[in-house]
Amino acid sequence: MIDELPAEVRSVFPFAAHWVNVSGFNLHYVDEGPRSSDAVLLLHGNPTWSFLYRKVIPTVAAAGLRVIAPDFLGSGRSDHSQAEGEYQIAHHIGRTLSLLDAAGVNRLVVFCQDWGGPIGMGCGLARPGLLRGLGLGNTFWGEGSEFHRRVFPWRALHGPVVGDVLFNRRPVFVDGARLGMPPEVADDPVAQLAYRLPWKVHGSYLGTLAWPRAISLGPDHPTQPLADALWAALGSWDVPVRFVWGGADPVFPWTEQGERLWNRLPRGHEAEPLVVPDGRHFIQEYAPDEIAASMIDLATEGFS
Amino acid sequence: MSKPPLVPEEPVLVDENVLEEFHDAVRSLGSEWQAPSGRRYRLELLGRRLVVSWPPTETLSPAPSGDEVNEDLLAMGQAIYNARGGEWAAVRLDQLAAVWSGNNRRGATT
Repeated sequence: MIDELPAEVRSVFPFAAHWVNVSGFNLHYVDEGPRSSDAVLLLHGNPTWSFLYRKVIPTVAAAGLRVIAPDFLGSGRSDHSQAEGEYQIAHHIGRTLSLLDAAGVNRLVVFCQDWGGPIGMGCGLARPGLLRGLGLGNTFWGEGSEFHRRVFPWRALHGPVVGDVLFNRRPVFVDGARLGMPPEVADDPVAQLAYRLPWKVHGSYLGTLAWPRAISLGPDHPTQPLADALWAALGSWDVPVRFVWGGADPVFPWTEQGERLWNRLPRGHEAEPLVVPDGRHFIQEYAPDEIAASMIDLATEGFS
Repeated sequence: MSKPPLVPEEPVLVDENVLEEFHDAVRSLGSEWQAPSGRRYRLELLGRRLVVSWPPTETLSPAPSGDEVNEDLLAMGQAIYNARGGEWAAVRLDQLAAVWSGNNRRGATT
């Protein structure tokens, strides 16, 4: 766990730290706004942390809503594990539910990006009635996209031996994350310090390697049962939905991933999706105001 | 006469999750593999767990730097990909690392 953030990171991420111990791991989360059993949940992916939502959190909290942004195990200020098995998606879902229980949350609307999708939607699947609204941006349901199925430049990045060298011994993947961000963030030393901080403090980048290996590429993959269950459930989820999607993301293109989700969710077409033309993978860095507005809308509708 | 330096006992690398599609390729390198640098490495694949370590007979004098070991390991990874064949054999890891390091900003994102 990271007790203290550097002053320059605190200057742009000034939120009080909240902690919960789940199965022996200290997990960090931001918890702003009134203490309510209804909350807006903001879920990050790989290789980021709640810092990704620093521009979304104040707007949502200022609207009088409770906003919770956790750091998953192996990310952000939370503990890291050296056991790859701890990073199975089912474990992330279980730990996130435990965190919400400890925070006293009974109902939520969630914004999911990257791995936040399978985990956030997985929480809804595991606990019917919890999820009252779904915000989606550059995410998926556990099955790999076309990008993930190609050997170059994705699968070759995390094969045997190579994965440990390029993700862990040389942090090529963490360094490359800035390619999915706008130039003003990619070249901002404070933002890049914050994004790299968890790995430098913990002395290991191993947690970032477990995520890509958890993307299902076939029926025998351990994540596939979750992906199948999510896809089946999404077809009948009666919750309001908003999309804020980066249209220039080769990992989760709108036309491949976004539209499939938009068409799958029964209430997907109640609102027009917002596709940001130059937005890449980390859509929170391109459209924080739009994400905040969407989540406020969802909360108004979902908690009424 | 001085004794040759002992190699570290701790593994050089542990990969806990080697997919089955690579097991034959890993085994094809044998229990000991020599990098282009001349340094030798021991490979043990148990289930999905691959442990790369120094053979007890290896002498590391002078001790290699971390970057030199990384180069050896990338060469090992390339050898595994070559043994896997098909489109894996076409991957050039130095090129891949450059793309992900941002040397080609239009080439990839996360």
